[in-house]
Amino acid sequence: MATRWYLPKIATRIAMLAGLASAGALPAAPLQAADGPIKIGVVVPITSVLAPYGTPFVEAMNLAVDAANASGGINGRKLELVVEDSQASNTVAINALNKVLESEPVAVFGPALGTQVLAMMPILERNKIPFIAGPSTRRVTQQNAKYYFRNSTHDAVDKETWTRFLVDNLGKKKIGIMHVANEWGYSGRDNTIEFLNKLYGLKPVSIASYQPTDKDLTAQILQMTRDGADAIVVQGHPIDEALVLKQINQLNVKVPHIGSGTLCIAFLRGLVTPADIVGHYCEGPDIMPPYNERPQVKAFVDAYKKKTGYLPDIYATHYYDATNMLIATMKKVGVDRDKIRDSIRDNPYEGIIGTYKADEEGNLWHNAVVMEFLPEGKIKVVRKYKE
Amino acid sequence: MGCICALVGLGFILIYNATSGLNFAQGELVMLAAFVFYAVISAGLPYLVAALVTIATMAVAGIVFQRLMFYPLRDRSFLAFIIATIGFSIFARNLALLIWGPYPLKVPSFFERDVVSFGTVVLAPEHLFIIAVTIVVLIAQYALFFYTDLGRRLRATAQNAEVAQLMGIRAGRMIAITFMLSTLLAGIAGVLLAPIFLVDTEMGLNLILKAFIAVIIGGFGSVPGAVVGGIIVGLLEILVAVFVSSVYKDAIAFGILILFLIAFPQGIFGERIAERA
Repeated sequence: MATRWYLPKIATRIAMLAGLASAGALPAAPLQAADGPIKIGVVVPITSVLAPYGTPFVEAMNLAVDAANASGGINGRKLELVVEDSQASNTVAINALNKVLESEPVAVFGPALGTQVLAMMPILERNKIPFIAGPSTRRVTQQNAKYYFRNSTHDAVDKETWTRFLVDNLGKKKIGIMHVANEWGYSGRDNTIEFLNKLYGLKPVSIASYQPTDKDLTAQILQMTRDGADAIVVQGHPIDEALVLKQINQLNVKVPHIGSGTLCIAFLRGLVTPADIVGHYCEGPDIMPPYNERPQVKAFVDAYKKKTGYLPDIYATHYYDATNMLIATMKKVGVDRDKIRDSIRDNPYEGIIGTYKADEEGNLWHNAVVMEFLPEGKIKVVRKYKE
Repeated sequence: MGCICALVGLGFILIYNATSGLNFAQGELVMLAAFVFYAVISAGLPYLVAALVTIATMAVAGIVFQRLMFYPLRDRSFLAFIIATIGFSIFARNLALLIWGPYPLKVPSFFERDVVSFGTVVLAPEHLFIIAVTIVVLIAQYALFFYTDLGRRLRATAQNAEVAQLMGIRAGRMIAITFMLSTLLAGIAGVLLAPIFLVDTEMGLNLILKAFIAVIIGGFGSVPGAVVGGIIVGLLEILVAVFVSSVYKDAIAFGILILFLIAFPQGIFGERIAERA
């Protein structure tokens, strides 16, 4: 009796496991039914401490998809986002991707997290599915991937910009680097070290890392002052960058401090007050959207705030632009994945914040800025990548 | 940070002494307290009222926690309670995620000034406040346990619940009060932590890890040990980070702690384990 009861169950489970395990090895999945909705896969962190690198993107992408559907979709077919949570884990990300692939998406959007993108990339390459994600980790676009596009700036652009600003604009030569001890943090550290050396023959006077869960970062800040740093750069996540800023103020450290693009996010999310951040700097791929004067950006900021209650950060704006780019591409070449890939690779796209144009590595965005926080919640762009 | 470790460790040890159970959800109780504090402040209540409401809410939550998590498992192996608390910690994180969302939240500071200077030493007023509150809490806790009838009954229950019951003490009620005191401490820690660190769903994990180490250093089961151990952990971390290496601070600090435990396996106040508070 027991055997009869369990055998079909076991067989089903084995079949399911085999299906999951082999999902990455399948040939290109058959495309969706020609009359059903067009599916776009999205695998980003919706929960966990890394949610700020996922949820805002989905919100922005939904705006783009809703607008496209309201204007008739793609040749009468509606668009649908198939969203799965990658949490803060590569394993979860792969499982989420496998689940998304079952919906036969025309393309997949990934998180702004280098480690997860690197884990997902081989599966999407094997399945020949266009893959768009915006981590700044340099080596993500050095994998010879044929279907991957980065819709944001990478660290070689970001870190060259803040290094030039520190040395050329501020005249600082004793740079201290603080970073979170994960792939994102090390990428920021290594690129800063590289540009300090390559451009000016300098070495950082102090380097300190911390764990993503660390809350008391005063020891690292004190190490910077002890080593004589005359400027501090930080590459971390929203929580720790906000805490670094607060603790720099509390310790009365007066040297210039530049946060990564994450500090811009922390500011826009209200994790630091305008009073706390006056006199500090953050860098990013472009000016923060709420400060962008372009009418189309203002319209996006208003729509995003109305929908979510928050101001959009620059990375969410990149995902909004990239979704519109994909929609425009499908309107032009249809839903064939290779044609979509070729079109994105060969044609520039004019987004709401500027032009996206693929280079030989698949990088679409080629700008970075350093912004200074002024009194009364104002900001000023003090350095651009190309000056 | 050492004082916060001490408060979390103290809450941990109170339950251990009363039930022989290890409450690995103590960090998540601090996290929930921080979220409740945020919610109450956001509702517009004055700062001090919000703090009191939070602490009172956590105290009540302690009784509920005891009835749901401990009471049904009271006759089982202590492992059942440990696993239940680990399960609760996962549940609490997801509950916070559902209610307050995945974004970290900011609680305003009670103090207008960012720093207080003593010569060349610069301190945040919140940190001084944490030290002061911890001292007050410890004195109050000592007074409660050693100078009140309730304290005597609590200690009697902690030493031997069955004998205490034979002596006319309602052991079940004493255990419920111990849980209430433990979550009340978590409430205080949450209120103290929320303004200096942002409130997020992961904040409890690190706390319980360090508090657990603090408890081991101090001598498992010892109330003063939990406090001294917490302060040692906090100090060791910061001193290693400043004078040796911030990159390897956790590895070095925990390495030193392992060496310490090899030398003193029972911890600093190990002798008093048998006394149980």
